[in-house]
Amino acid sequence: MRIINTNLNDVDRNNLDIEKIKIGEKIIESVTPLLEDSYSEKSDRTKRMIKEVNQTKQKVTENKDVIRKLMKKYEREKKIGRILSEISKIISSGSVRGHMKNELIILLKTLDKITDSKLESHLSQLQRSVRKRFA
Amino acid sequence: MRIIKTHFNKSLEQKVRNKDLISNVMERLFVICKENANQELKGKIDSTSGRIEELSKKKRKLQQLLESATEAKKDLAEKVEDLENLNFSKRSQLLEELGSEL
Repeated sequence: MRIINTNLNDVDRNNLDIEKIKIGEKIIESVTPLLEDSYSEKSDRTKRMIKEVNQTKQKVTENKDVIRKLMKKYEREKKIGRILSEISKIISSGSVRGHMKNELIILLKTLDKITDSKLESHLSQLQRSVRKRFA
Repeated sequence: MRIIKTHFNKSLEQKVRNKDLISNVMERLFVICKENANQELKGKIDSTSGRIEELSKKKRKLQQLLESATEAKKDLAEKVEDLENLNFSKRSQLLEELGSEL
């Protein structure tokens, strides 16, 4: 047998039900701070998650912008491709000389610098010219 | 208060029983404390848990969107590059046919 002396108050053996309630309340009191810790931990986690969500949103927006620019570039290159195809048809017809030849050379050399609206107008002009030649 | 211990060596069965008992007691204790805690703290914990759940869903959706966007960006960049290369070689060829060069 081993006897351990503690600094706990003695139990009132005549009122055991009250003692039980007292113990329960003490335990609950000591656990409540843990709940506060749990709240504080959850609160920190929420802040971290809000930051992460905002960062991801930012990345999505950046990607959207890049995709929009790439789409514009893709459309432009497709238009250039159509212009090249029309020029190829005109050259194959074998009737490119003098002034027209120089115009086509300048157009081919400056295609990268021409604005989108100008590209559109050159394309329509070339398509008209091809239709006329092969009519 | 004095605590008197008569048994020093617990059997394995007793230890397992005690472990289960402690786990059960702790679980009940937390449920009681959560219900017993002041209403404001309880409300805060519940609403924060809800917010975490909501943010997790949002983050998952955004992550999926980001993955798709990254993939689409990569594909599109490749297509643009291919088209640029194709146009460049076509232009060079046409200029050559016209007696000039880039």
